[in-house]
Amino acid sequence: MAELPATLLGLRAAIRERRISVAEALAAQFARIDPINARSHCVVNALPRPETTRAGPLTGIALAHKDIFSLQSRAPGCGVHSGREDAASRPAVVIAALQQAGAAQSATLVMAPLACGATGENANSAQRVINPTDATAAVGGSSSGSAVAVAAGLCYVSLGTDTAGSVRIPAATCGVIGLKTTAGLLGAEGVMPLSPSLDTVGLLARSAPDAAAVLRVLAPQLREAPGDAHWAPRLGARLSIKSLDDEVAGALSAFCEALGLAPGADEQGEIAAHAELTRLADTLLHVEASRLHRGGLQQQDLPDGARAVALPGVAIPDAWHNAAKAARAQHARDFAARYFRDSDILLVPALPEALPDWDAVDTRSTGFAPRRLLALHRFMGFVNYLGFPALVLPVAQDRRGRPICMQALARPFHEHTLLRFAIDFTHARAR
Amino acid sequence: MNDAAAKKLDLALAGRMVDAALGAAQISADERQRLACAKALLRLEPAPDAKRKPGDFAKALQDIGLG
Repeated sequence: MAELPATLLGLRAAIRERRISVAEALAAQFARIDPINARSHCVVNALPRPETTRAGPLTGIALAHKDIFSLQSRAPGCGVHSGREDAASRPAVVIAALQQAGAAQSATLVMAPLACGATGENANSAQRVINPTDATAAVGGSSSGSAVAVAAGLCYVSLGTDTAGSVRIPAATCGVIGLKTTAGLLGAEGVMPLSPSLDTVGLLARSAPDAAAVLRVLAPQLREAPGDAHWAPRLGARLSIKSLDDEVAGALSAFCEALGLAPGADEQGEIAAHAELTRLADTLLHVEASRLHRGGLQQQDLPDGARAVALPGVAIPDAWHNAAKAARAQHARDFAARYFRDSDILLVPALPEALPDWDAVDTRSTGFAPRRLLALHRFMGFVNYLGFPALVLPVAQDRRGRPICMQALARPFHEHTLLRFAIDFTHARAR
Repeated sequence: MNDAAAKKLDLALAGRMVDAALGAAQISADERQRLACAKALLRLEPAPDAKRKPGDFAKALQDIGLG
């Protein structure tokens, strides 16, 4: 079996230079599924290897994605079942774009039921998904399988969805890149909705250049970051230090100092309007989930996590929901005026506490601590409300060797600025 | 949906809103779930001064992205 390079771009170069054939590359990638899944339990279905793929920038690349996207003749299981044959099903817009670029899909990946869950907990799965960085550490959700598959080397890049942190939380727990895209950037057709106002498709990847390569296929219209090697984005920070545990606070402060961003009192302070933006995000989430899942609420057949998200929305007055939607534009403008007038990137925490053990955040465990589960969401929902792109990347390790991640925000449609920042940081760390 | 929420909420009033909304929607829920819903209403009730000028969100993102 051919040896695979460490990155998607490395494999693409190897194929281009004929050091490995497309068939060998696909065979080697598909061969990884069973052994990795045996260790990590991240796969719902291994898919058949295609006889041929289109010629394009992703020819010879096999990706695996959250089981929330419609495929050709297959409806997704969305964490509730293992998917179904469906002759009427057509690929989701984002899946079709990857196929057009030559990518194969090797597997569908586990997720929290109906995308409701800050962890990968899923009562429908026989086995708990395992974090490749530490088997006793929690795996975030809802795109839990995507984060694990990428971290374990099953695939280079995986698509997930992010409504209230569902790409960024799992990425942060598994120490990989997680990119939540700008609201409306990537098509939602063929993706199971949860809260259409907040839903976004995102990418999880082991390396930022790989994520950028796939994003160029999905959104070729996006503006690139400046090509000048000496260009660096202007940085700002709001670390909310008082909301962090000591270990995370120390690591994020040190990260900022290493970037030459001496975190003074202002940088260490709270994110303006964070509580209000979170309240507004939660209002949209509950109401829109309740509308989508009204039948399931009535029939009492929603999974517990989805029911907990949807049920409060039934009682939320329409006026609150309408006000939350109407206020969104002005909040986005206010936030941008405050933080992006003199900066290209705003650094904020990803998770407020060191990565918990699985047992602390699994609702079925005797060690379950609800506060620790809720904490996973703290710095997530407000970004979905604003609609801005955000990227989490690992910047340090805690005393147990688990990842500590930073979250970077940018102006809408400036995803490549975020990825350039991650690339520069990775290069600097390697030196 | 219940359109009336002019008063400042307390837990009792929030509980009545939940009971009315669930009843109207023909959704059954146990006491623990109803209490969780009532607490959610208390947490999500807008502050009187929370209003912002309404605007086109998609256009705002485009404008900010170009800015």
